[in-house]
Amino acid sequence: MNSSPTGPRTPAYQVSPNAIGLWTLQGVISSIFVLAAAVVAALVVPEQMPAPLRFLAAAAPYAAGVYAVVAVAIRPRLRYRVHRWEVTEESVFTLTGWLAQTWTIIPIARIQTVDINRGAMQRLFGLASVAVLTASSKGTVEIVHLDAGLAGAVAPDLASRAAAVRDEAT
Amino acid sequence: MSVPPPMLAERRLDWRVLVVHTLTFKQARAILSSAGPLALIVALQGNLGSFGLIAIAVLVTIASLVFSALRWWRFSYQIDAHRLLVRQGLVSRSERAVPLDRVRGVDVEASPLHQLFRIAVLRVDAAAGTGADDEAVLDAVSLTDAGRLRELLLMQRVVDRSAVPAAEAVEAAEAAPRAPEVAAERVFARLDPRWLLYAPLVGSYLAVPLAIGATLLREVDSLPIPAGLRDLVEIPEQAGAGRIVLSLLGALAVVVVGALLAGAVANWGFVLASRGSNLVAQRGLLTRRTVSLEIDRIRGYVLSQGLGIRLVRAARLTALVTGLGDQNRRGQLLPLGPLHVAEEVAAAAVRRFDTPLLAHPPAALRRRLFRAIGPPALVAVVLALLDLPVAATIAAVVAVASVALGVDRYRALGHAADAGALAVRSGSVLRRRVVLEQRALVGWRVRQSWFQRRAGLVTVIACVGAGEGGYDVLDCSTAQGLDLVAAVSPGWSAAISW
Repeated sequence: MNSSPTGPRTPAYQVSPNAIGLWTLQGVISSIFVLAAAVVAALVVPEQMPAPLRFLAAAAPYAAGVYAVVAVAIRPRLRYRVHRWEVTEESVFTLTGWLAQTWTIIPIARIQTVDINRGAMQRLFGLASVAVLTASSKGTVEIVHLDAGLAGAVAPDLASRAAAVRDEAT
Repeated sequence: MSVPPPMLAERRLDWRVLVVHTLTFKQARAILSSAGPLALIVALQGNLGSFGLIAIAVLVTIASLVFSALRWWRFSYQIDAHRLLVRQGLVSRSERAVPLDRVRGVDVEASPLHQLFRIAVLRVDAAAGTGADDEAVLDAVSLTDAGRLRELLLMQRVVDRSAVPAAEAVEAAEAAPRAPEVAAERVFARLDPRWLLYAPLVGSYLAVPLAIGATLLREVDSLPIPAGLRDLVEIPEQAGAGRIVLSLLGALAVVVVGALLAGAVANWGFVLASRGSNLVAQRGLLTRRTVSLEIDRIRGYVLSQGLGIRLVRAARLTALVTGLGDQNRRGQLLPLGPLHVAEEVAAAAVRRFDTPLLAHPPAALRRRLFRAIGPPALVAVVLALLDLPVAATIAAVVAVASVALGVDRYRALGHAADAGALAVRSGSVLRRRVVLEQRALVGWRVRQSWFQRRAGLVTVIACVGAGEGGYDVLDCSTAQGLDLVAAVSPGWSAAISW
C-alpha cells in the first residue's frame, strides 16, 4: 500500500465509448453558435469603434475556429480519458477533471438516494447517468454517460445494498 | 410501550398575542405598506387636520386588530400520537404536520413586547428532505405553555428512539415517565460581561453601528438636528487637520460604543446548559432567545477567530448539528469568549480533541505565498506598465505586506485524527478549527489542481451532513491526505489508496 507520488488511485472503469459521440455532437452544436456569433460580431463592427476593439472583433472568427476544433476533435476524447468510476464492496468511487482532478468516494452505507438520469441527447446515444446522493451537499457523485443497460443494473444494485446496510447516524 | 404518547387537544394560540400583533401591525403590514405612503402624502399636503390624522391612526389600528383576530381565530395547533399539527389560513386552509421524531430542536423567543405580556414565540425545527425549510412557528403561546410544549415535543423524541432497540426498552419505559422532571442541568458556560469588550473586534457587531451611521448620514439633511450639533457632525470646507482628526476619533468612539451595545443586546446573559437530552442556550437583552439542540445530533464543533479577536486570544464556538438550519446563529455554544474558555466548553459539551495537528509540507507554504503575493504583484506590474507610478507603488507595498498574510495562512494549516474524530485548521483573516466526529462523514473528496500535482499536494474535503456540508484540508501532501482518509474511515475508503 505505498502511496502514489502524485495522487490517489485511479478508479478502474471508463464511461461508455458512446459518450465520445455525445460530447462531439454537443461540441458541434456549441461551435455552430459560437462561430455564428463571432462572424456576426466581425461583420457588423462599426467603423468609429476604437482600434483594439475592432481588432478583437476581427480576430473573433479565428478564435471561434480554434474553439470549434478543440470542442469537436479534442475535448470529447480528453473527457473520455479522464472520467473514471468504480463500485467496490463498500463504496462508490469516481474521478473527474483534467487540469484539476477530483476523486470522490462515498460509503454505500451512507447513500440516501440513487437516481438514473437520461437526457434527450443521452437517449440518442443509449447512455444514462447515475447520481448518488448523501446527506451532504458536497458528498454527491454523478457517474455520467454510462451504457444505459449498465446504469440500469448498477443503480438498483447500489440502492438495494444501501438499504441493507444503511447507517442513519448522520 | 407503556408510555402514553403526549396528546394535546386542538387549541388556539394565546389571546394576548392579539395585542402584540395589533400593536406591531404584524398581519396588517402587507396592506399598510401600500396604504401607508398614500396616507402620508395626504397628510403632508396639509389637507388633513389633526382630527384627520387621529382618524387615520384609529382606522389603521382597527384594521390591524381585525386582521390579527382573523388569523388568531383560524390558527390552531394540536399534538396527536406522532405529530404536531398546525392548521391556518382564512380561506385556503393549510395544514402542516411535523412528525415528532423529526423534531431537531425547539427555540423559544420573546421580544420585549412579548415579554411584557408573558408570551413567547415557539419555533419547532424539524429535519426535512434536503433543502426544504421545515419549521413550524407558533406565534405566540404563554410562557408556561412554551416550556410545557418544548418538554412535550422533545420528550416524545427520546421515548421514540429508546423504543427501537429491544434490549433497552424496559429500562427506557422505566426512565421515561420521570424524564420531564429529571432536567439534570449542568451549566457549561455563562457569559462573563467583560467578554463583551471583545465585541468591537468582531465584524458583525461593528457592522451594526456602521449601517445605522450610513443610514443617518444619508438622511442627515432632512433630520431636525440643531445647528450647533450639525456643526459637530459636518466638517467645514476649510477644516484644520486637528478638526478632522477630532471628527474621526469621535466617529471611532461612536462605532466602538455601538458595537459594544450590539454585542450586549445579542448576547447578554448567555447561558449554555444541558437539560435532559438537550443542550439549551439562552441569550439576549431585549429579545430573549432559547435554543435547544439535541445532544445526539451534535457531530462536532467549529472554533472560529476573526483577525481582531485572534489578536486578543478570543474565539467563538459553534456546534455542528445534523439537519439543523441556520447553523451559525442557532448552533452557537459560546458567542464570544477567551480562547481557553471556548476550548473548555467544546471539550465538555461536545468532545475533547487533544491530538496535536500535523503541519503541512513546505510546498504548501510556497503555494500560500504565491497566491497571497501573486495578485497584488501582478496588479503592480500592470500599473507600472501603464505608467501610473503612485498606484503601482501602493500595489507593490500591498504585495510585500502579503508575505505576512501568506505565512500566517500557512501556519494555520493543519489536520489530525484521533480514535473518533478529525480536526482541521485553516484561515488567516478568519481562522477556523473544525472538529468533526467520524460518524458524521458521508464521503471524501480529493481535489488536485495541475499546480498541486506538480507540488505533490492535494486538498481533501471531508463531506458531512452538517454545517457547510464539507470541510477542506487545504494543501496537505498526497501521503498525508491518504493517511488521514485511511485513519478516519478504515474499511470503506480503502479503494482510494493504491
